[in-house]
Amino acid sequence: MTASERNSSGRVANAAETACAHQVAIDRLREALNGVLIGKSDTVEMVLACLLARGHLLFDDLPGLGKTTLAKAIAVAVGGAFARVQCTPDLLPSDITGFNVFNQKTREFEFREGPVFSDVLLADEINRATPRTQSALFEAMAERQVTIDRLTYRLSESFFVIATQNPVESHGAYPLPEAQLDRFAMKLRIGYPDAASELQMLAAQVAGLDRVGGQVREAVIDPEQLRKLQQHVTQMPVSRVVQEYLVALAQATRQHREVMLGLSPRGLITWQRVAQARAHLQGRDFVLPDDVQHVARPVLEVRLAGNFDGALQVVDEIVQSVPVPVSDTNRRGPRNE
Amino acid sequence: MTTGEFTEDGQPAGVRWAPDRASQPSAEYGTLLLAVLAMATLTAARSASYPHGMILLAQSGLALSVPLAFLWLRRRHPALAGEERYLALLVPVWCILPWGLEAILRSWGIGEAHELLMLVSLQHGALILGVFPQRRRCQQVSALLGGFLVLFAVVIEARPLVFLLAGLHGVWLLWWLMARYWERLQDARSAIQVTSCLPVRWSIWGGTVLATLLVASVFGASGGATYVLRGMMPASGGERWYDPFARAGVGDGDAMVAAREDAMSFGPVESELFLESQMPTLYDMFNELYGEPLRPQEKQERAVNLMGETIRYPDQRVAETRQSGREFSTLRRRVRRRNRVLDDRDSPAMLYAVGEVPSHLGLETFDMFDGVTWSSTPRGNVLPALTERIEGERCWFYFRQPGRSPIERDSRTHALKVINLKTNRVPAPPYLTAVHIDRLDQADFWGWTDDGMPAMVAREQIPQLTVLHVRSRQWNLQELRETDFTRSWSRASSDGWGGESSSDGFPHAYLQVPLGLRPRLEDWSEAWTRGVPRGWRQVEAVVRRLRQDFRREAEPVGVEAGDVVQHFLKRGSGPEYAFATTAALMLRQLGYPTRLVAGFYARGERYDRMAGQTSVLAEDAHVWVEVGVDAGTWVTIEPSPGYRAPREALGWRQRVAEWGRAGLRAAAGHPWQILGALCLLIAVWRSRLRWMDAVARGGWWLAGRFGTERRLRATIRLLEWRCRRSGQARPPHVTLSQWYATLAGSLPPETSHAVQCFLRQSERLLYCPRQPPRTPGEASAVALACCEVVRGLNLSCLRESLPLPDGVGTGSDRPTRMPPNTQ
Repeated sequence: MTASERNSSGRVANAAETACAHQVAIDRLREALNGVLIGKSDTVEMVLACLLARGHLLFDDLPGLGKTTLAKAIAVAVGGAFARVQCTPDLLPSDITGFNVFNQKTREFEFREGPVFSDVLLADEINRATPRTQSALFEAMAERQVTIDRLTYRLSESFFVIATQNPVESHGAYPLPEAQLDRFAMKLRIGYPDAASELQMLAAQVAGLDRVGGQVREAVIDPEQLRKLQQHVTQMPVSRVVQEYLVALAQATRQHREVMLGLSPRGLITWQRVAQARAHLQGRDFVLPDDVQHVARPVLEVRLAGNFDGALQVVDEIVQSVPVPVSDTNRRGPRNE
Repeated sequence: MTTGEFTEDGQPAGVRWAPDRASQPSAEYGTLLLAVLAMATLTAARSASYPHGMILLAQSGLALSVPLAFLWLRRRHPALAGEERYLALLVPVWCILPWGLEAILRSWGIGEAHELLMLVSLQHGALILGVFPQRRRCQQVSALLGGFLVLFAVVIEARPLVFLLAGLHGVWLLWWLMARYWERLQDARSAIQVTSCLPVRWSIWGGTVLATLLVASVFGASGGATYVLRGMMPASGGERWYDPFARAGVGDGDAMVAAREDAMSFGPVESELFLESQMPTLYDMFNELYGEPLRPQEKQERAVNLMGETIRYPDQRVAETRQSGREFSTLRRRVRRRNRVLDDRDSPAMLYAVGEVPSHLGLETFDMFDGVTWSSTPRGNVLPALTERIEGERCWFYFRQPGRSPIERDSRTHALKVINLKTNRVPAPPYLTAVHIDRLDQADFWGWTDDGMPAMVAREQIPQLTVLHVRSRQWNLQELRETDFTRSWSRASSDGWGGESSSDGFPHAYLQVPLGLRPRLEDWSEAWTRGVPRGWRQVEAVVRRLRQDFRREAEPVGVEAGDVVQHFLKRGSGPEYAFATTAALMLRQLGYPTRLVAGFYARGERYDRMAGQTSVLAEDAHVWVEVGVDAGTWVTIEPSPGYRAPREALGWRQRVAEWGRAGLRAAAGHPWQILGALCLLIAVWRSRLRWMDAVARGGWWLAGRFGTERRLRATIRLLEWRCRRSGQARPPHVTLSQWYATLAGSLPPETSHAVQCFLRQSERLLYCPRQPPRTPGEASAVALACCEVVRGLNLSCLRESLPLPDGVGTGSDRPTRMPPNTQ
């Protein structure tokens, strides 16, 4: 065996070991979250994809469906610092980012870090905060830093915002601005559990358990592992045809008659990253059009704005209007048969 | 040969090659040597007719170069034994190469006949297949092609060298066959049962055989395509196509027609042999065909003695006009035919014609009829002058200027080779406009005869073997049918007709009817044209009645008949000249000028497909009628049944109607063949998907020879095509895995597993930018999966599967991919 062959086989072996380690970490994470949220494995998959894509998550659902529980479980499972902000109309930006306090002893101002200085931030009922307060998260979510009194503070590399909002109660609520929505990677709904899962929950309550599968009491991966996972996902190759497919879809969002605000370039990048994460969760090292389509609804729903009631229907129309690149036949355009 | 089919033990034939391979390497040079011997034999045969020996040698060297290069490459680089992958590409390219070289050589004026070129192509194929002895099929095909080449070479050339080489080839072929036989006996693997699996079905083989039988029965039983397709297309395959390198046919071969070298000498045709031979004239032919003219017995009358200067001395040569004054008697008697087989004649043909047939070739016209005999009135002084025009490198002499008549349409050209015809008149198709003979550029050779026919007036006869190119015009008679064309005659100049004119401007001769015939003709003509508007429709009505109500027979009208027209009308049958005479006189009675034309009728039945020409024999002498529609414009009509009038240049509507009529005629003439063809067409149409699928599978199989990636892509294309054809077309926005994974749900487990494997590999091929090289095991697995998928997801399977809902590919409608509660 020559030296180059030895190096090549060594690289292959290292890559296999890394992939194996990543898969183990993901499986542990998946198992922990599925133990908390019963019967919602697909939602868990989306949450994991969002986490690996370094995106932020917006839960748009009714109260009592497990949003906060899931957010806390994520925070514990990834082994980072968890912070929770209950958004109310009187919440100030400094309550989120932090503020300077004058120390009488040292006769100097000291910076008191806000909840953003954590690994997982749960912004509960985010639409109840005023737009001014909501805007305090712009810089933190987009650039993972905050600037206070001309001083910039870096946040955690794995900073992850999980926001929730109640779609039903609009009294005293402030809709999230488009700029804020564009900083979320996806919007998810958990939905009601099925009957079997609810029976399982009731039985667990009688038995005295807090949750059926128990709470996530300790971290299953550490922040360093999470950063490696995220880095690995970011570096996953995407073929030219899939990128062209993504661009065609993005252009379709901008050309749709009912969409006033199409997909932004930032949104397009986020979409590709979420598709990469989804491919990784499926155990692949390349992205398929299936991945792009699979995450299209949560990714597009959060950021498409226009005169429509059913955003999901618009997303479906957009996806259906763009042919999937398959072999050479699609270069001639779709066939009408 | 292997394809995506499977052998009996379940293995894909496309993967396992071993049973097709020759077991012994000893055949490596044996097959090639066989092909080389065949090449040598063919080259020896070609060299007899190919004057460029060096070029022949160079071609042979080139033919050997690539096979030898392959042998050398294999010896130097044994690892390149897998070059047979390119066999499918190499063989066609190498076989087509001679045609490309021929195109280059022809641009230099050097070339060969097409049939020899085809042999050279086969020779290349035999040589290149001989380089792949490890494939038993290649050996067999190479030996077969070599044998065919040798057989053909022996047939086309009888030279000692050719026989010697053919004998050597035969001896070596015998040894080769024995060697192959013993090899197969010794080859243990030959006992393995291998399913021969060409990518076709029995239905296709059966359909092909049926189609071949049908075509053979239609074309073979009915005497050729010309006869079967009469009316659908020009009956002659001539149509101006000319190949200077052809080995037979009219106008080919410089040595055949010496006029090419010296237009004034006409080469061998003026040899003593020909001058002394007794060649028939047109009248000899009429005599042979219709019998001799009846001459009334001259009675001895009383006479008075004349003065000496009026006495005609018997030894004094009496001036005789050769140009006119010939007569055509309509009363004849049957005689025993003389000279049915003329001596010293190589060919019984008067002419050879290349161009559209059937066609009338007129030689002589008659305008005066005295009740028994047709004669012509000299009117050469009013005929137009000749003009000379150079077109390309050819000098054409125009007897008429094109475009004079409003009924003129497309021009057409015939090539006529004079064989045994002894006359200086040009056999003229209707409405002849121009004549050309190669290298003849002197206008004083040509002129008009007194009866208005073009002729080579400078000579007494057109030399034998001369090739005449005659250009004529077709016409469209629609305008004549819509208006009364005789109205304009009084204004027209009578000069165009020639001779004295009537008060209406018509020449007397063309309207003259014998007085005794007028009452009867008047009755008949009025009865036949009652209710028909005056003009060409009346002409057509008369011709139609003659063709429908009267019968043609060979028996001539004898002296006992007295009046030929009356006899014909009474009896209801007669020879062609009776038809022509009656038609001409009846039309004259109606006021249309006519003239009788004698000449030849070139029959489509005599078209020789091999030579590409139509023979015109003495039996084809014919008489017909022309109607004057304009000053100098004569339109041919054909009153005799069994003969076709010259084809009219039709507009598209008329053409469609004509096609329809021709189709009906063909259907009536060949009902069983048409029925068989319809059944075959229906069968082909009903099984069209199978045919198309077989062709698509052939393409898929061929693509699979070029590697795993091409195999995968071809499989994707084939499945996409099948989905479309079975009405289950994949919507453009649905991905491959979504589509086929759902379809595979109803398949057997092993097929379903193969579909999953195929999808994984296809997705990796299409969307993975970094593809690691496949191991042989992976490639084999992919080939297996592709074969299984192509076999499992066939057209019937796809047709039976239910269509997917419209929302496939958009999220919530995909139960296995995105649950509804995600959103």
